[in-house]
Amino acid sequence: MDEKPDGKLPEDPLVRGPGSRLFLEWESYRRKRAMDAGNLVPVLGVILFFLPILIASGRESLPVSGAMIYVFAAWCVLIALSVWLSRLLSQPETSDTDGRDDGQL
Amino acid sequence: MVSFNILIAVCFAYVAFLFGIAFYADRQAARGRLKFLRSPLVYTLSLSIYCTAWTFYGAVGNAARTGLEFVTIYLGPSLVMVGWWWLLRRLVRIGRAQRITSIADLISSRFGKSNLLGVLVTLLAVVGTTPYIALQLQSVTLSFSVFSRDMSAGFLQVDLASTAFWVAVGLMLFTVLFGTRNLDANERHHGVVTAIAFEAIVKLVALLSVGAFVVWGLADGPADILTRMDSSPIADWQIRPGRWAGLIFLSAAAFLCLPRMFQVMVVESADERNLAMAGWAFPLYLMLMSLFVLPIAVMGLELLPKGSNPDLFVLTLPLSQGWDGLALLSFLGGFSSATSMVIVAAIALSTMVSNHIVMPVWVSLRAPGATVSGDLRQVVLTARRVSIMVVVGLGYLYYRISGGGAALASIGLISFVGVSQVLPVMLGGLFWRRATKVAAAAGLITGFAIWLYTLFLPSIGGAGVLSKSVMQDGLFGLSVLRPQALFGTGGLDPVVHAIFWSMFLNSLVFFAVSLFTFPKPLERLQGVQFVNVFEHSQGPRGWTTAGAGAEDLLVMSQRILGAQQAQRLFEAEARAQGKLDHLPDSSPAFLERLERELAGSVGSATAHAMIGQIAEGASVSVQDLMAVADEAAQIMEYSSQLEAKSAELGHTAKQLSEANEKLTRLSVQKDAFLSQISHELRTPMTSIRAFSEILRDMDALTPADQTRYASIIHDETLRLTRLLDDLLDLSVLENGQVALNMEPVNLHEVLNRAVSAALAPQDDVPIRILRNIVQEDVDLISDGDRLSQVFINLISNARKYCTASDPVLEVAIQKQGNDVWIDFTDNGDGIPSHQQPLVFEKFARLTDHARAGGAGLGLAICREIMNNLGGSVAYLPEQGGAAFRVVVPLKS
Repeated sequence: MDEKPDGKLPEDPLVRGPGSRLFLEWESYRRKRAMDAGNLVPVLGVILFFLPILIASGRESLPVSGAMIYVFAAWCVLIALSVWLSRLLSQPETSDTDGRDDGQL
Repeated sequence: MVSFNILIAVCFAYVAFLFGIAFYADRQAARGRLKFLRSPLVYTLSLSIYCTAWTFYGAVGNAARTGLEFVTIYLGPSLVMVGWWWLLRRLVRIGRAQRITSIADLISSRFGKSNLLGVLVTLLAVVGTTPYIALQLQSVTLSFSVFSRDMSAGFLQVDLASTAFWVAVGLMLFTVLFGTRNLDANERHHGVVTAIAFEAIVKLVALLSVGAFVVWGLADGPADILTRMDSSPIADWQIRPGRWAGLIFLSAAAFLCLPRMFQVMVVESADERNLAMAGWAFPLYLMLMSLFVLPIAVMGLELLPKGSNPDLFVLTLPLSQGWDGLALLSFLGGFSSATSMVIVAAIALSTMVSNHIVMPVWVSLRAPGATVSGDLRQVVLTARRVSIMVVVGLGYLYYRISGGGAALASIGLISFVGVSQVLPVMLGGLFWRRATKVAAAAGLITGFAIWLYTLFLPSIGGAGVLSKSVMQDGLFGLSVLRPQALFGTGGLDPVVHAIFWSMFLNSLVFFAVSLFTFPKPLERLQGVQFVNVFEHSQGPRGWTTAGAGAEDLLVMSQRILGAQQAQRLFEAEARAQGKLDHLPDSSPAFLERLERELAGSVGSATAHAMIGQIAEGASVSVQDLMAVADEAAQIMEYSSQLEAKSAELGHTAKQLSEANEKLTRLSVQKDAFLSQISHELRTPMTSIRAFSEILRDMDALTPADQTRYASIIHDETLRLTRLLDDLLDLSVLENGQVALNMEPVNLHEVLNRAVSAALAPQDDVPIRILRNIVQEDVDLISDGDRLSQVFINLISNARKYCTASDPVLEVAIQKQGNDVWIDFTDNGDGIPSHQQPLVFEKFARLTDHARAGGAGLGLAICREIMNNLGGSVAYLPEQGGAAFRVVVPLKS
């Protein structure tokens, strides 16, 4: 992809003043990882939602109730992942990163 | 039982309430209270216009007919939303950076602001959306009819067809009122969006209520429902892989391309941070919307008489059980779905129609040269209002013509396929810089044509647009051109068939033509701005509220002031504001200061315009940038000229000041000399007068005394004569009037003469002269007398001024080309550097006058003589003592 989210990150640790460099590098690394995940979640979604086709191809018929439970479960997984990612990606990057987000990992 | 009057009253109350909400939100927005209106919650809820009446009622019908397949049109948008970081964020950022007003505007702007593309997309959108609006009108009418069929006296007099008309009029009114209230530069309609967010809640609550009623009221909870499901007709459902995948793709594509979705998702989006919440909240909303669809369908099939329209189960199921209140709520949910879709679609389409069709036509119809006056805003608003009425009117017309039958029900997917034709061009435009305008137009036209031919026209085939023979044998009798089996692919579902061929050929043409055409400069510029939007526009850093404006300002300032200076300026300001971050708040004071700073580089008018545009969140158009660049280039050229001139002036000024310094020194010397010369003239004159008076008046003088006094007078007279001779000589030499006696001479002889003459007057010889007789044997053609006069002067100077206890003068000769260099170097202290420039000046006497015994004209005369002889004489610094170099040409 052409997207270069890395390019917009202010990587220069000097602008944030001394003494916090190690922590901030870790922070930006974590953020990049979250961005990667953000790009991958829809791919996971596509696979999850297309899986019924593969499952159905092997049998005579698929019980509706089972299919429904599967689809909604997959949907919930996707939403949960998305909640988690949104919280990671929307965290302020430059300021007041306290221990709060460590708990979320 | 719900009577007609109650139904109408509820409808009116609800609509009035919506008007109230919209009005209140607009008031709040006008007062600047935007926090809630721009919140992620409102944004997420506003996205729910994806769920129209077609999905509200139709999903259950769809589920009753095709089982779980109904869920596909919710899965596609969910995928798009969870992938917000990759695509939607980019789209929203571009929308904000480029001030995009509609999807037609996006495509047009991306490909060099081409109005042709704008018109194409607008037409596509109108053709794709009009049936959809008709569908909404139909659903409202149908839901009315449910109550009327159910009973009662009041309904029978009401012509149901006129219901659609009055609903259309009401929607027109609402949309015109709140959609074109003002001409906001950002195309945001807070009132409308807030009302839609409210309607989203009504929709959800209605559907969930009916669902809960079905699951826990009619059945015995979830487990029971699942059991019933597997024994209902729906259990025969089998997944159709083509449709399953195709519809997920289609709904995702339509979600991105539908004009109304683009309106709420991109145009109305106040802040891309809202996407972070919408990314999970909207899929959640969709999931809740579809959670009870299958249970309702199952119970409807089970409880309602055979032949009931499953599309209306949501209404008829509660009604049949006597739950009128629930039915009413459900009715309001469907009503909300229909109205919100029509309102936003009408706004989006009217923006497109007025911006890309009406306004260009209006402008071109005006007499050329006529200036665009201030009433343009009014013209735009009128165009919007008329467009809204036309769009809703078209929908109504379509509804009337199509007869509102079952044909309309299938129009949802057909409409989706139509608007999705924009997708290849949109994605290509967002990610591929080399996509061209011509290719975009070709792709769009191809996709549009295939959609019309394979899906849209066959869908209204009953009306006879495509004849039976065309449908069965293909166009011109060519079987490969059969509308629903292009190239023999008849095995596919018609919708999937149309999706595949239209998307495939659309993309193919788009990419192929891009490969063979060249974009114009503006297209390339826009391409870069779109594809590299994250490098060209700085987003909210770290998604915090502060700094977005300052960031843009910094980017701009860096371009004008240079990176370092701009950053220093900003950091200084940030410190002054007491901020730890290196970006200051863009306070008015800072903006003013920055403007002044920029005005120094680009001129005040430009600086004002630039700051103004950024401060108000506007982007600068390419033309603006080019104009600014031109202006800046001119200023830079002008300033570099000024710089050159000022450097020249500086040089001249330096020369002048040197000359001035020299003049001042000379003037001081002259003054000193005048006093000296008058003294020198007076001294001998005084003694001459005194001794001549003695000779005249004293009678008793011895002859010896007489002789002595007379010789004193004589000596003094000689001294005067010598002084006057020197002055005369110098003046002659300076004026070039001297007659030179050029003849072959030998340097050795000339030096001999000079040395003996210079040392003659003194008996004691205090200076030794070192000479090299071999070197001195040089023949030259010159004036021997004048040359020896120069040598005498230099030797006498050495004798007079050399301070060494054992003075030695070395005379060195060397031949250099056509010249002979004669260096006279003594072993004294030399001349201090600050006096070196003065030694050849007239009247210059560096040390005390008594020792000199002359008037300070010697070296000046030497210089003039050498100039006349075609040579030169110069002081050589740093030679251990005073050193003079005489340069004599071998032949003059």
